[in-house]
Amino acid sequence: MGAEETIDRKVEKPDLSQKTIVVLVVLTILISILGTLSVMYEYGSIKVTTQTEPKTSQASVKLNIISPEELQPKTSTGQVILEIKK
Amino acid sequence: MDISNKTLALFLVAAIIVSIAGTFISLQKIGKFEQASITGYATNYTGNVTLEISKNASLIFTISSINWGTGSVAGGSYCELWTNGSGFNSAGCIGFSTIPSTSSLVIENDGQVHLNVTMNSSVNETGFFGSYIAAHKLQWQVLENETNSCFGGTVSPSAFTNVSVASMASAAIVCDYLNFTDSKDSLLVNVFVNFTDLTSQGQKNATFIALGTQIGT
Repeated sequence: MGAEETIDRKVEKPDLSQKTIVVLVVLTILISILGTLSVMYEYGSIKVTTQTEPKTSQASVKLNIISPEELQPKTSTGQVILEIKK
Repeated sequence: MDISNKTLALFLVAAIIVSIAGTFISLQKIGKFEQASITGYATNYTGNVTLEISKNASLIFTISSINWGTGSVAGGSYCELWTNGSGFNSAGCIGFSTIPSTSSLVIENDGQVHLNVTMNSSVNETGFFGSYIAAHKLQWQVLENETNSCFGGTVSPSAFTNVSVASMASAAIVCDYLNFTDSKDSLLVNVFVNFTDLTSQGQKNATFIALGTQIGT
């Protein structure tokens, strides 16, 4: 009799419900999706730059043209006057 | 609400498919990343190796100005100014400086990558002198300033040619492979102008813009 009571108790022990399993499976899917997205995002954020930006530099060419007259040496006169008396 | 074992099995299969697909996609991404020709790949797995490889493109005019100063043209004559050789001013030029090639424009690749170099001018001869006269000239000539600076490539124009005023996108290529090695990394730009006593007086300015774009690795 004692042994039969023990077997009955084991049979009556409640198992995990199907709902619990469903929740676990859904969690598994979500975790898998999130993990995949995370990995893809991380790799997407890695940028390998093999081409540098183009660079520019400038130089100037200048000259100034004036009339020939302006280049002529300019003259000016002054006077020094003195008178010597004996 | 009861859920059948069939539904549970479907969920599980979905979980497996998502997991495998995720792994497969990740592996593909990693595969592409490895094909991106990264240098400095560390093969020693016993320690951490941190390295940073940095390369810069840089192009500068080490001599960035030609200024013939102030002068005029003899009546009924013309004036030619050249920067090649020891420099040359024709007989009709009065008062302008003489500029030898050693003082002409020099473009240098001072980065760590080879460059394709194009150049354009802010103005052509008409824009430079302010009016059209057939005799007006604003021309450039590009030479290697150091032997083999444009190695394996072409320096152009080797003879005096009208300056290019095209947009940067279609500017004239002056050297398609400018070296970055210090001893051979520069170009000489000579300039030639011609004008007459009919040319309008005043300050004449042109800006040359050189663009260096990385070529090779």
